Amino acid sequence: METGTPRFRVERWSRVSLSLTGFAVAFAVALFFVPVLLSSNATSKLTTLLILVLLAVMWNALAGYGGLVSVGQQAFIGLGAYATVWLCNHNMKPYEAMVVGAIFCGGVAVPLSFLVLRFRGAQFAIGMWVVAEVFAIVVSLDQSLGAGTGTSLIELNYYTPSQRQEYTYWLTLGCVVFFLGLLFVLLRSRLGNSLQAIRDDEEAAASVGVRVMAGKRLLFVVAGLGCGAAGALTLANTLFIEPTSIFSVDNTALMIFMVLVGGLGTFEGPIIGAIVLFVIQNEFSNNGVWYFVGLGAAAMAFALLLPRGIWGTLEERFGLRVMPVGYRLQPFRKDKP
Amino acid sequence: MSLDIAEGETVALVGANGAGKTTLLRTIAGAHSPHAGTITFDGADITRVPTYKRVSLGIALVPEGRKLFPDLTVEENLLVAGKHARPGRWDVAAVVEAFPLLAPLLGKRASALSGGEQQATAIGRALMTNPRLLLLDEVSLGLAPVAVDLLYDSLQRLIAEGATVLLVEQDLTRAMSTAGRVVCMLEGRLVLDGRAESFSRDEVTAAYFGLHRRDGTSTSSVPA
Amino acid sequence: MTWVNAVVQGIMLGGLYALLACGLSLMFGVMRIINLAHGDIAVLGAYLVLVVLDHWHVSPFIAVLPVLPVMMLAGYVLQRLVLDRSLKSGLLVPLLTTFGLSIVIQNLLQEKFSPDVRSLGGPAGSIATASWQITSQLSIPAIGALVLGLAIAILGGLQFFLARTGPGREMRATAQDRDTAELLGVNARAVYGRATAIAVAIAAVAGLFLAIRSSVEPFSGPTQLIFAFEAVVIGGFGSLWGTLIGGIVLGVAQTIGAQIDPQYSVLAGHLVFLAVLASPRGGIFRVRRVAT
Repeated sequence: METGTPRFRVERWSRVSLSLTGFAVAFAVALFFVPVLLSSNATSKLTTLLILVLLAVMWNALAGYGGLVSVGQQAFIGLGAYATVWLCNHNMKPYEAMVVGAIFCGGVAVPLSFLVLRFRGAQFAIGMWVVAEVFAIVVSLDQSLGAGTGTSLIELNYYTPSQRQEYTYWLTLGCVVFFLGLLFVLLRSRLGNSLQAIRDDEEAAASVGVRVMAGKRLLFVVAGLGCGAAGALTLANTLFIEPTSIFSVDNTALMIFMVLVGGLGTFEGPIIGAIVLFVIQNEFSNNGVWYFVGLGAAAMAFALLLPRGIWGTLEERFGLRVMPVGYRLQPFRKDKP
Repeated sequence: MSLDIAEGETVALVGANGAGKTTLLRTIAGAHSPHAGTITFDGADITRVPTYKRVSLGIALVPEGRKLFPDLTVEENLLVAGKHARPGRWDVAAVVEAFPLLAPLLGKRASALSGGEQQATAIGRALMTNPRLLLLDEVSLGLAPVAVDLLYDSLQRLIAEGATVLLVEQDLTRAMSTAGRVVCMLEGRLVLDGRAESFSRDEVTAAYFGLHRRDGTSTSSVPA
Repeated sequence: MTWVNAVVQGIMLGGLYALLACGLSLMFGVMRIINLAHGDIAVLGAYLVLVVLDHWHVSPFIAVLPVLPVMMLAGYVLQRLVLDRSLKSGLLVPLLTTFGLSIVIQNLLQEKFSPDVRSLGGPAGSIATASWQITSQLSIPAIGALVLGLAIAILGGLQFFLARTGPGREMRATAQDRDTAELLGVNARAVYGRATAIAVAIAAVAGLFLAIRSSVEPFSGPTQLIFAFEAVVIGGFGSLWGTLIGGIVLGVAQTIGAQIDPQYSVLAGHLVFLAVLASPRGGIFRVRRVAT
């Protein structure tokens, strides 16, 4: 066997992924012009879709990349919304309050992580759920936050409805781009590899020096930040929130559905899943009970039969990689630079 | 590879780590499904038979590492196996008779036993199913020589009674003195197969490391 | 004295939580699955009793008898069809499938029965409201004592089953090492099916008493699941008697919280749960496998 010339080289970007990523970036830029070009109804709907994307991406970050299945991210969704209300009650401008509220959620996630990250699997899942319930109860006991009957962000009335929709849309889009970008960078860094290792075998990863807890903590805080932002944006988009719904475990049901259908652990999957849910919501949400039965049954079917989701299955079948967060082994060809 | 074992034979399966010995035993016992090929037992094709049904056919495996149920007592370990046993002479009393060291240990948690005691329990547990074919995977691993001696004494008695045994054993001397037939595996293939007394220890060692090829071609690289 | 009364009520409540938690604990002990649909299954049991009562005018305690085999069969089928496949795919998938199942059950219940709150207290008769007056401030509700007694009996029976019977031994063996159990002739899938069947049947009994003691509605499931889970965690995973202690601790926490302020009752339970999670021991009983 000859030594010297490498038989393979490691590649991150392929031609396909380069062009598709370029396209994705251009598309994101184009999205900024939506409020100018489309009706305000479309803008509002697109905001809803983008919030779903944000939620799906965050849940996937936790479960797909960190192996942490949380049935309690609604804790941060609600916390972000109510922090925004509280800040506005204390004379902060609404859109600033949303950003600060989201950051506050990220801040809460740090000490919380020391409690809940001691657990894995179902203990973590339900532990987070209990945390969400505790947040919900605490909020509903506070009169200044509207208690159990709910509240809205009256400060938003300073803006005209179309202004509000535009600003909300831009902030949402900005958040989605920010978090996708953040995750992209994190996953391509050393953290990304260690996360894969953690997901596959925690003990083995720790034994080769992977800082398991630090990686999980980072994901947990990012997810807290993102879900908090989603909560604040939901408040701006829907105008009215109440504890039972914003802290409801149904939010987790939607996130699970989106991620399972789209593809757990893939970068693009949650986006696909969010689009699918958005379409279903628009078509079927009038069917009440059957809508949720369908969602639940679909989640089960995907979990059992197509666990890699739509995108994950496509990736596997066709070796597709749009966003290059992994590595490819390419045979070394002398003619290639 | 192809292997035939006749009733009443004792076959020692030797080979370096990674040769495939444990995989072979587990495949016979049904814990692995083969990619290709068939397993025939007593004339019937059992390749597709699920693991738990093979016990009723008469195949029992003593797994590598013993794999006792840690929080069950010795007696309970035996009884679990006994529940699905074929009719036969083996029961808890018979096992204790074959392995007298277990007599005071019946109520003791399996996790609290010593290596030799665990191994005796593991073999006894397999025997409780009244097997026709007993598969033993590295039963001397991790045991003190004295314990191994005791174990093999009991094993010899079983063999003398006519059991069919396929045993995987790292200790070549033991393997060749216990078994009537020696089979050597290398990288998933059979490289040696014949009566134990017809081979010298050196010949078997050579086969172990791939220095002796069945097809007679010259050697490939020799691992250190 | 009202504090003493609160504690006593809490202990009674704990009996119900222990009953709810029993099935959850069993499924986790044997299969390492947390059935997120467990609460909904308990509620389903209560609704099935209601269905029986719609056709025959008997006491709910009689009505539950035909419900039990139906639930056991459903549990067995659930395991063989759904959960068994989930097990092979790792630890994430069972959580996701049982969560999906939970949503399906809740919404099907809402579809079949209205969203109205239903109670079995009425049909249960005087026992639902009877109590023994010990002092002017301390009374022991009959139904509470019954549930607590039943919880102890069922837990004891389950413990006996696991420790002393052949099938129980098999279950413990399979819980500790499925592969080796199969090599000894144990049909692991059937064992798992039996465990789920038992868990589901006990959940149905718990649902019955939940509906007698208070009420149920299609979406009550998740709340009960949380309580059951809290009881299991407080008592320590894997120990059946720990589940009883955990249920009682949770019940007492809730009733004492209620004494301070009715709005605090559930919160108090959650805080005790989180405190136990935060403590180094992580549970009153050490985590052990399903064993005596």
